[in-house]
Amino acid sequence: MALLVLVITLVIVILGYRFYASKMDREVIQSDPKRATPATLYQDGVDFMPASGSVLFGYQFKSIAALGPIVGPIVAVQWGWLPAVLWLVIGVFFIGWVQDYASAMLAMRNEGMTLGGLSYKLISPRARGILLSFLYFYLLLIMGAFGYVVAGLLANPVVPFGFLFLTLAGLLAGQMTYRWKQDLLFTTVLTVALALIGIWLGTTGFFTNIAQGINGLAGDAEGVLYKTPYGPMKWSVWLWGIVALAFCYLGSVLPIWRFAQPINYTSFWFVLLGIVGSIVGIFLATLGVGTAKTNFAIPAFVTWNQPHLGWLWPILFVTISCGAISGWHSLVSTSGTARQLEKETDALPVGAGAMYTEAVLGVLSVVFAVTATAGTFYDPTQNWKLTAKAGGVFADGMSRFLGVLGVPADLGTAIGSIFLAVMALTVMQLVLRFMRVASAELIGDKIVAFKNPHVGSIVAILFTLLILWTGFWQRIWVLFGGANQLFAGLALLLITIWLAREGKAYNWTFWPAVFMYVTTVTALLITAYKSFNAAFEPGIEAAFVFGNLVAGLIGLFLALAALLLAYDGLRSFQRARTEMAMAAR
Amino acid sequence: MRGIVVEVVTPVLTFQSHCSQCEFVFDKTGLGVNAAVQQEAINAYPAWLQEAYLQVSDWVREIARRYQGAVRVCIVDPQSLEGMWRLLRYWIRRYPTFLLDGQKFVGWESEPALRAAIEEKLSAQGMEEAGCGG
Repeated sequence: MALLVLVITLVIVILGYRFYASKMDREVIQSDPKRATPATLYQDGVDFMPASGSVLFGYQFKSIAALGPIVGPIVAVQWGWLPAVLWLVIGVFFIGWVQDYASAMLAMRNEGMTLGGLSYKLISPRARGILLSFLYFYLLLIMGAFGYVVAGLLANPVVPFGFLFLTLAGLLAGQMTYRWKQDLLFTTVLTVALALIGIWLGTTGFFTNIAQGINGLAGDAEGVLYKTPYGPMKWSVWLWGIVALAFCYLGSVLPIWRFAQPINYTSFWFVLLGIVGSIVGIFLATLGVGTAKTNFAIPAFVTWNQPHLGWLWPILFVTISCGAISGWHSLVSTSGTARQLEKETDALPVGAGAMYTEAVLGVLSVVFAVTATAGTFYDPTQNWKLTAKAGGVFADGMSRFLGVLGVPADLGTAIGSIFLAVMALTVMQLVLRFMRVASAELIGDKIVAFKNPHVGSIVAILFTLLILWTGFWQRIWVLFGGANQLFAGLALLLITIWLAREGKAYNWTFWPAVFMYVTTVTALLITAYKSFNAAFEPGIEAAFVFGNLVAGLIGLFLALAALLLAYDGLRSFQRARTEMAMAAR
Repeated sequence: MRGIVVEVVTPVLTFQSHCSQCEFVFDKTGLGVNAAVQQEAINAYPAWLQEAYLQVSDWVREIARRYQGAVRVCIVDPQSLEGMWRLLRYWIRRYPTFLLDGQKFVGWESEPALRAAIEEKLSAQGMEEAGCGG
């Protein structure tokens, strides 16, 4: 079944690319290989640098694929695996690639202008301000959502010491490369090998016993410290959340070459090995090699309404987020890719190709989730409610399929967990670095303490811990997805206005824009309503009142901002249509 | 007629490739913080690497000015998948290494030879040197 779903997905993806996407590229956008691109016109050695399509495909994919396409589908299969797979496939077919590709073309035809600049030019000055405030909340939500995932992963006793050894191997890579000026090939082979040995050592009895001892230091018999409205907060998750943020703190205050960059470089190689290995594992398991199951344990359709999450529409669409469509990608396409494309005709394989590939990664996450043994992560007695951390589900799936290649289960779990933790921490530590510098620049003159890098970092960490410890992660994820999807709606609206101004067909971007706006605003309003409701429940503790109020206010703010943008955008769209009609007469 | 592509395999002061997602977001905030974060990260690199990077940047600008669109320069970071492939394929052990149609020029001492090869290829392609010919 797993292979069948993957093959069907691949076939649809290829058909979508070959026929729908290519047709729009050829007939509507009319990409021209001879037309000069901003990269070739302004070649400045910094932003505008022409690069080959194959290289840009790699950069685009690396930039758009983070935790979203992995965590979103794992949470979404609680409505059943079929709605999740259908939205991934249909979403990317009609909306996802359209946004990624067309926003790159939009920026290219407007001299490489960024999304902020484009919204200013095509919609209104206010649109740019709203966009910037979206981004601010987006950063906060990234810290909270990703931090909770990492804490859950590190709480598994086979993970933390492997992660520590990987960090040490990365530090060694930095020292060898930048201080001792050692040969890069030698450095890479040595440090990646040391990291892999370290991850394996972390799964052995000596280290797992220590980790278990740490996990049992506080809490009740099951390690529970206190209850949150969304489930118990375990001591292990509470503690490893601090450790994850301490890691981000070092990433924020130490020179990039000393900590963040070499650790990321060393991790990259085993992340690559993990992806390739698990895909090969799925194919071999389908052919009957090994004992990993490929049949689906969760029903195709579970329910229209998961009580703890909400209705399939609109919540599933926001939950899946990046695997089907993501506003984040429009930032990547406009700010990076559009400034590096050597030929207009490369925009389709780069923009659309990378998005289709991400949808396949989303379906792979569904496969990891639903091939687990029934009752392991999703409880059939509670309407297949997810009872484990989403990161743990992915790590288990990767472990099972790496097992087909002979990788021991504990080592596979450690590799899968560290794989996800690295993806999340890479983003988090630089977000923290940004928050530190931002606070120094913005309020450092008024509150001198913020000029000290440690103060700025610690304040940002405390804020993140507050989000983590109040435990409203499920709600945070919907807000995170909502902010992301609103970006998508905005990008599609901008593209539609541009197409209307150019006198080109625009229905293929207009209706997806309408769908994204309506779906996302509804999801945000529902989330805000639920949060406010929860905040005023009788007898609720102060921390939960605060957490729910924050979630409610963010949801409400995002929804209102989106409505303002839609109002400005539709007025601009109407103007463009009127001008077009007058020109035609 | 097509232009000439020179690949320069050289260490890059990686800020963006460490987390390009972050940089795009920072860039969009419009608070001027992105430049500060970037500058801070770049200033922290060892001096030898900063000098090497500046030397390559100056060279790229000079080539772009001199040959305009006829010569395109691509920087390849050895710490990328593509860069690792180049290291293995051409057995590159020193930086910068220039690649011109599969021909390897190692270090700055080979730069005059690279220039000569570029001129030769341009002549063979019948291209005017926009920067020199006026």
